[in-house]
Amino acid sequence: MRKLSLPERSTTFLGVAVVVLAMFGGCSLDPVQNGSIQALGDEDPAIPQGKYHRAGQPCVLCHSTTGPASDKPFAVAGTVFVDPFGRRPSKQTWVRVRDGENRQVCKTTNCKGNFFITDDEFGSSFDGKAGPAYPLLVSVHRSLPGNPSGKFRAMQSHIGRDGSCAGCHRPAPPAADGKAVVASFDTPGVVRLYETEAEAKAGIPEDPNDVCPPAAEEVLIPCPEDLQ
Amino acid sequence: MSVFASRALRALFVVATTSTVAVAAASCASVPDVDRLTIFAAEDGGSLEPDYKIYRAEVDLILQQQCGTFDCHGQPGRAYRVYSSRGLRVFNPEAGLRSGLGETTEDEVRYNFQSLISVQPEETRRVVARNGQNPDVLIFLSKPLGAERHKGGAVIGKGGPSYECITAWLAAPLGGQLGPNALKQCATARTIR
Repeated sequence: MRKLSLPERSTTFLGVAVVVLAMFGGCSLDPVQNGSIQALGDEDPAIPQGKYHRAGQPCVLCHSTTGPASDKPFAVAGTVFVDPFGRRPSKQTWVRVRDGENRQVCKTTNCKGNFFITDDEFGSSFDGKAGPAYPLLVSVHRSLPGNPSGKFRAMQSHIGRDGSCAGCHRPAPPAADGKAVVASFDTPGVVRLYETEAEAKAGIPEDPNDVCPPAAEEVLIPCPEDLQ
Repeated sequence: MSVFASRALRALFVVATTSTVAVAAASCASVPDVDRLTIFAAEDGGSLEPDYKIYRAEVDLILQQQCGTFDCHGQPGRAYRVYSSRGLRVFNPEAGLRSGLGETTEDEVRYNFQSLISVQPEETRRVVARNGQNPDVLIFLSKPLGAERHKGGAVIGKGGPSYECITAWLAAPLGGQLGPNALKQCATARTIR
């Protein structure tokens, strides 16, 4: 029997490398990312995986090129709530994201308050890569019945590099005296239209007929600038 | 094994051995660089820290706004960590500091200063000792300039208001003041968020 020659051995190594890459290529080797994903917990069995799932969680953690949802990566994604504590989703809310190259993308939230923007929706930046050029400025705006200007809020600071709203905007833990607080030392709280529950109830009363996910396909109101 | 394979393996062994010996020799052969000596104080015994008062009045807000967001340096785990009223606050349950509420406290500004000059404490002192000359050796400038890898990309420009303000601060003597042009650059930089 002929001994394995060097070229054949190289081919063998190459073959093994290809198999190993194929096995692990779709998984993140980043233990921080993996740990963060594990910490999110399981899916809510009442909400199927899709555009309504995991409201308020850091979307881009999974929806990235190295995450388990790498088949649908997002550039910017998150959830808008009406109130700070009740976590009532703010549907039909326009989320405007302006990037460092002065390009603006506007998306409408669904009935869970979720929205997402892909890299392609920003187009290519100056370096030829698709996606937003950081930093980003963000605002949320919801048109209200009888209120032409609606409710508008803009972030006071920019987004430096994290496309997940919930990467920073988490529910704040109760204060030392047990009182519920909107923001904590390490988070500004969830993305919300109103600062208090009372303001939220007065501004956007709860509708018991709101069912989400809806039985029929939801129709989102386009951003006014996209209608022109 | 074929003759070709045998020669190839031998050549590979020779190249690997030679490279290892060369790298090992080079690592032992460097000449001490007197410019790399640690400097703790000026020749007259004075401090070589950059001026804190100028930092507090002119520089800190620029860094709060441009570096201190939660997804960047407004994180407790970062080597350079920035506190700000709109970002990460000092954890102090009694004071009840919360993101987005109130003003940045004096303590927070002081901690920001200490964090900044502690990124490269010796290199920072060398820059101050040479009156701010060649400040771009400091990674808190080279990174945001994009001269070396920075996850947040290039966020300031050389010659821009933020750069001019920070370098003027590094060049200012302890207890000194910034000139009118530097003050103007700082004021402009503080309008950038």
